[in-house]
Amino acid sequence: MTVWNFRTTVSAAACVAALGLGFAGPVAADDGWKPTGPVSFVMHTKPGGGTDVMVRALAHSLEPMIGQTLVVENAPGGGGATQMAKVRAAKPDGLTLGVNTVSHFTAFLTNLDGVFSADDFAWIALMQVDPILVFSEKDSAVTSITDLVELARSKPGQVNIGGFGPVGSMQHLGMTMLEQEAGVVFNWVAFESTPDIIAAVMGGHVDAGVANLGPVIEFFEADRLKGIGVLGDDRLSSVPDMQTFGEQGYNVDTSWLQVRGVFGPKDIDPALQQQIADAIFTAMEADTYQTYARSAGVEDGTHGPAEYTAFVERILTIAEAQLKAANLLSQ
Amino acid sequence: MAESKERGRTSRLELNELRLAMWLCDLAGSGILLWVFWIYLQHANALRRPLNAADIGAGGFPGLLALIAIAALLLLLGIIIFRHVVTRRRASLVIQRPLFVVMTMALLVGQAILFDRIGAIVCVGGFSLAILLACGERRPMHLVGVPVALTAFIYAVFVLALGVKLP
Amino acid sequence: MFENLALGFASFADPMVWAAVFFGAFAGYLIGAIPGLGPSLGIALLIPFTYGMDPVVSIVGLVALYVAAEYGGAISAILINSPGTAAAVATAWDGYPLTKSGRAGEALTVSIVSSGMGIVVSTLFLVATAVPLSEFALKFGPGEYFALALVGLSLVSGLSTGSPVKGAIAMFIGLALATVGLDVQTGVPRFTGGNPDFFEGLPLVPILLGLYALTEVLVMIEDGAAAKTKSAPIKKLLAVPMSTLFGLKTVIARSSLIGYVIGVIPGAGPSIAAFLSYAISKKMSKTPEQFGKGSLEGLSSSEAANNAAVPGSLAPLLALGIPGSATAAVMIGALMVQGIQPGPLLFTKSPEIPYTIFASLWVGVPVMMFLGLAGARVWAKVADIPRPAIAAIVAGICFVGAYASSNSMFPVYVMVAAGLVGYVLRKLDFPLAPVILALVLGEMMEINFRRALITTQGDWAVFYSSPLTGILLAMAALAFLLPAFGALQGFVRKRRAA
Repeated sequence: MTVWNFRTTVSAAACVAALGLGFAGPVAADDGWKPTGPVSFVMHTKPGGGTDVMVRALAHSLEPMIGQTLVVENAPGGGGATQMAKVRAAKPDGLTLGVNTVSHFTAFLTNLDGVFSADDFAWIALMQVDPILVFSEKDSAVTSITDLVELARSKPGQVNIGGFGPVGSMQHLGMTMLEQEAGVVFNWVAFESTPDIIAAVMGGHVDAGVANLGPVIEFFEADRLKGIGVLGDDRLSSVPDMQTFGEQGYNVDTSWLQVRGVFGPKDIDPALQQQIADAIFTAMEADTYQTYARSAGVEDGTHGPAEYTAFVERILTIAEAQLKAANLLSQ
Repeated sequence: MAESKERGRTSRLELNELRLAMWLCDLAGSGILLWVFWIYLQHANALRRPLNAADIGAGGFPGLLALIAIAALLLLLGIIIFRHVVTRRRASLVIQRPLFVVMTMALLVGQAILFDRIGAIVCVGGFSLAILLACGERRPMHLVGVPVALTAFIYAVFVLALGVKLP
Repeated sequence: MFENLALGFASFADPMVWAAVFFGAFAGYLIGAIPGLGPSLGIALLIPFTYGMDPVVSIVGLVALYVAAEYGGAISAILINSPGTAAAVATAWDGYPLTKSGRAGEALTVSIVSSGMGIVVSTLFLVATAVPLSEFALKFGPGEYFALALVGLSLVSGLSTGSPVKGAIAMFIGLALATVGLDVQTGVPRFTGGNPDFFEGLPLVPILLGLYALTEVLVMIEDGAAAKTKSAPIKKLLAVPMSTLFGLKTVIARSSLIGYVIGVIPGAGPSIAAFLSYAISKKMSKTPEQFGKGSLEGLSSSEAANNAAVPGSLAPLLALGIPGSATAAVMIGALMVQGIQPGPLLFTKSPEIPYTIFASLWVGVPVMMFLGLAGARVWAKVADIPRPAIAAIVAGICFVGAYASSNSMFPVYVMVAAGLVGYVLRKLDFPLAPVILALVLGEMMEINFRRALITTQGDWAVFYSSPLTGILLAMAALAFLLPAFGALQGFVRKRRAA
């Protein structure tokens, strides 16, 4: 067992080295992750959602690399609880993995508090990062975050912001950070899908909307919507005109990003975790995945197990502080 | 119903039909619904007040709904009693082969409980045989053929063609 | 536009495109016919096959699958009273009584012809009005959506038979069931008993399977082995004379228009279209008393409308990049895999995509009709299987279908509970249709009502200041009140006569 561990650790290190040196390619899989059977990716969504499509795109290039089929198992329900129960109960052999978003982390603190916690799982790879941005209708008088804040100052609590998820959701917490920084109050209007938000902004039913880049970029190009600010360190390469929150003078924590990552049951061997992460990152370089990812407007993530676990802790700290500030935690 | 009303020969066990006074069943049914909506109303009222003053909150809509439903149920109770007192028509609720109906209900519940314990395929085969028996099928060919064909069909479609992982 | 349409049809020069149509239609037809599986699952399952394929080929296949799956739901609804989707519920109301009276072949033929014609007519509207109508649909704000949901609910009086009070109570049961789960606006768990399984609300399909299929199994148990039906065999090409089909032309045209318009409005899908068009057809019919007992008009209006809603839901998707239904949303995912992000520029940037879709909707119809008519001969025999065997088969497929709908036991429990409660309600003469209608519309109604008040800081004027909302609300009020007045009048008259 120790020998085996040693060997895989070395080969994993070799993989990392190969990646670092730019020798990455399907070759790296030769001594990488070799699952002994079909690998299940358990999803918390129904078939066809953004996260689901990501896994199916990944499967296309990952399957030939690992020489096993990749089964996408949709287990929606319970705000992720159905999926997490399946993953937590699975054997830590790397054959059952799950895909998570930031909503998993906020659920640990709110609805699923006491049912699941971050320590129940191994956080293996951060595959995608997707900053949130604020947009308005093309003819709207609101052309920047500053405009939005000024509007909210003139009529407190009456500026309608449409976003995905209820009070306490990822996007809502992002906006509460802006509220605190600017000292204003917005009126949060919850929607259940991003297209609904786009329709509501274009129809003039809300003043501004929150979204990730992918679903709205076509509307920017068509000049139907305009981006007024992105919550991130840098501007987005595909929308160079849109300033960040920070550039407009609102210093909101820029690690508050939408993410998509891979996790598994907690006792997976760290070396195996590293192998899985490496295999995934290599598979992400394939053309099919890149075509999908660029049209979806997401950035590729690079965090392996250690960095991702640290990232999860950081996100949980921010989320807890925000939820407390918004008076959404019971304790 | 358009199908033939003539019933087959009944076996010794079989109670042919159960007749209950419709108005009593109606009263019982409405009473239970009234109780359910009452509990529902209390849960709705216990939900947290909204943080946003313009929102009627998580409990607002269910609360309103429960109140109207309770009013409608009281009206229905009134109508049932009024009808019973005023008219002489005595309708009754008829359940044919009540024993087998109750047995099948138990079978459905049993199948739900055992489905992930003993496996979907075994479950479907076994319970389809039981339902066939409950429904009055006695021909041995059918009793064997249907469960086997059904299980094979389900395995082919769900497991082989669609790749569903059944317990 | 005509050059573009020609461009769309030109892509059918490629035999691969034809293969995609046949494969998509066949797969959709089967997936739709299995209770518990639906078009969105079918599309998601097909996505992996579309890698490396030409985008046009894969889109044509997906569209063919979508329409065929939407039709396939009618088969199980007609034969075994198990609508696999909410859109096929109204189909079961008349389709299953037809099967029970030995007219399964007729019912299947009318359903496939109505579905096919619904798509053809609706696609005509789509080609002509996709862009302007989608822009108009943007005017639908929370107030309008609330009013639309209320119009849908007001149909309850027209759809339920028997006591109107029981119909209303059945509606409240459905509305109450729709409130279970995490609240959309505040995220608070409601009526969940602390069990996370309930967080995302009660799943619709298992409830449908329980209320319709499992209660039907129990009714079959009551009837025992003695009850039999013998379907008339299909002798000619069609099971019904051409003149009968021709006589349905007004119903089909009207239902297709309703289906298309409702389909265009994002968030209102095939199910609302089918309910609405069924209720309107009943109102306009010369023989409304036949509805619910095996009316070909009723069957035809439901099927034409739910299929016509498919091209309708593609309109905002192609014109604006906003999906008109859950399945259209899955289509976006499938297109993204191809590197195509549908948006407002699709018509200008890559016109071959929308116009090929238009063409494939028309080309797909004959393929689907061929499959449907050929299949009707096989399926009609299903109705002849002895009752005990049908009961066993329905129960078995429902269990597996419910499990497969989310790969977990929760929907199975929900289905069994719905089946037992549904049987008791049915025995007590509570109509089940309002339960389903309210369950489908409940969330749309509540969330938009609250959203309307939130966005206007609690100003109730939102419900009468917009003309669109006003008209819709007036329609709903009329639909609720007129039958009530009628009933009161009848009651008074009877009292006087007595």
